[in-house]
Amino acid sequence: MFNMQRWRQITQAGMGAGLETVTPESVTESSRMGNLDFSLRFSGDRRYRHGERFTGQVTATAREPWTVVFAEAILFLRTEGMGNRNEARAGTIELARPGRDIMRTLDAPFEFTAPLAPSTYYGTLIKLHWMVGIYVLGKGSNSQPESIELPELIPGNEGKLVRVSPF
Amino acid sequence: LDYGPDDRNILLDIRSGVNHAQFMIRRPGEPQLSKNAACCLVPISLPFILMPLGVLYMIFVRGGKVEGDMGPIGLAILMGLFLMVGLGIFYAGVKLGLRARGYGAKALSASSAVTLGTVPLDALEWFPKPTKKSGPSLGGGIRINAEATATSTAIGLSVFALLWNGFVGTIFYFMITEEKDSTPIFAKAIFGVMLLAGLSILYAAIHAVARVFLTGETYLDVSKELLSPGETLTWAVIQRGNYPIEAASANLVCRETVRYTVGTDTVTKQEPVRTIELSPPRPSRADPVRPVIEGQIVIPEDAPSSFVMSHNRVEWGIEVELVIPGRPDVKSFFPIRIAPVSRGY
Repeated sequence: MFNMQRWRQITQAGMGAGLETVTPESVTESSRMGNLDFSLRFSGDRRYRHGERFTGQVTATAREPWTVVFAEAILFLRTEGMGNRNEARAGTIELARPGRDIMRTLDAPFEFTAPLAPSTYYGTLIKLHWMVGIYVLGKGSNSQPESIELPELIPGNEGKLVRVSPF
Repeated sequence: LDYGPDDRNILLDIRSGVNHAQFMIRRPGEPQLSKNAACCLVPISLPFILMPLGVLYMIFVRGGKVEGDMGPIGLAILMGLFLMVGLGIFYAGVKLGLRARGYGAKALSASSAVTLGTVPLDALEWFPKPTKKSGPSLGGGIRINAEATATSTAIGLSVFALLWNGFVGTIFYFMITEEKDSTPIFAKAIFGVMLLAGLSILYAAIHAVARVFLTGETYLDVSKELLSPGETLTWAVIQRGNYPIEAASANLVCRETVRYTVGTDTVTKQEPVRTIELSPPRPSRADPVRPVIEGQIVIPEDAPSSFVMSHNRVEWGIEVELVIPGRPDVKSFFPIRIAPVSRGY
């Protein structure tokens, strides 16, 4: 039985406890989280420059038809080390609209722009990680939130700004 | 939600099916507010406001008598202090509460915005806000203040010393002068220790005030305060006044600061993780129009970017130390910002 309140707490608090970090080796492999099987793919080797756009694909499969309660991909940073943990979202992509009926497999792309700062950092008291978190919850199918670390955000790209239409 | 290349444009990526968007403009570095935390301040302020108002009403409107040595004026001053604290907390609660509830949010029609882009550095909540400028520099760059200026330190310590010693001193005075002498000895001992702490705060306040009047404010002139690795920073230390300085030195410092919880306490730990000597200690002279020391430094290619969050910080700055005979010495940290990418902003 999934706990809706717990899920809301996790998403509203911005990636709370309970996230599981998947090692780089397992990224392109499927993993089973609750009643949903996940598969995640990233463009490139998950080492991106600041300002670079990167894409990925999430596949969530259940054994039977299910309805999306929410499905999001989140780019966020997380600190690690001696200090209390800080986390902050840098972007959120809705993978599927709530209420959408899925026969068995949800196949959704996501796209993020790597923020201009800070770079991935391993210091004395502080470590900074950039992560992509996947949150999928379906009626009739349950899952645990999952997050994958981007090995590095690398300095050296000034970013590409395109303004389509001012207002 | 993305931002345009300048702070006048906010660009929204509107997908199909969205009729309107609601957003709130938040200044860079402004903390995200918890509605509950903001609203707690208002009820907390009420006793501080109502109690002194009640006492003042009883004294000056109803003509109540004040017993003891304090007298109506002394009591009115004490109640006035309570009232000021209460009003300050109330104001902060209302202001933060309104912001946390989206006061100032604007509505946009979907057709008014479109976009692609990258959030500018200054709009990232975890990137330090621009260093406060204090005026034009000697060399055409900008003049920045120390992290804690001499004036702000003096004002802060003086107010704190006044409040601390006012409360503790008043209570301690009544304890030792009461006729019945009913105060337990351990209570007197505790307040005695608090009074000693108050005296040390008073000493620090006097020292800080002396630094303002005898030493004067210290500034740092820099070519720019937002740099990226590989860029050259030109800097100069300016000291107000006109007197000899025994030793003036400066270092470029990267420091990490963390806050962590131990039981019910919050502990802060700060550690310099990189120190680059800019100028070794040497004699100089304070002069408002000539630098005490100056130089140039190329920001290291592997410099980590500045980063500020509630419990974790990576900060860059120039640490200046001035040893001055017969006047309070100076040890100040002038923050600058290092970004992995700064071109175009």
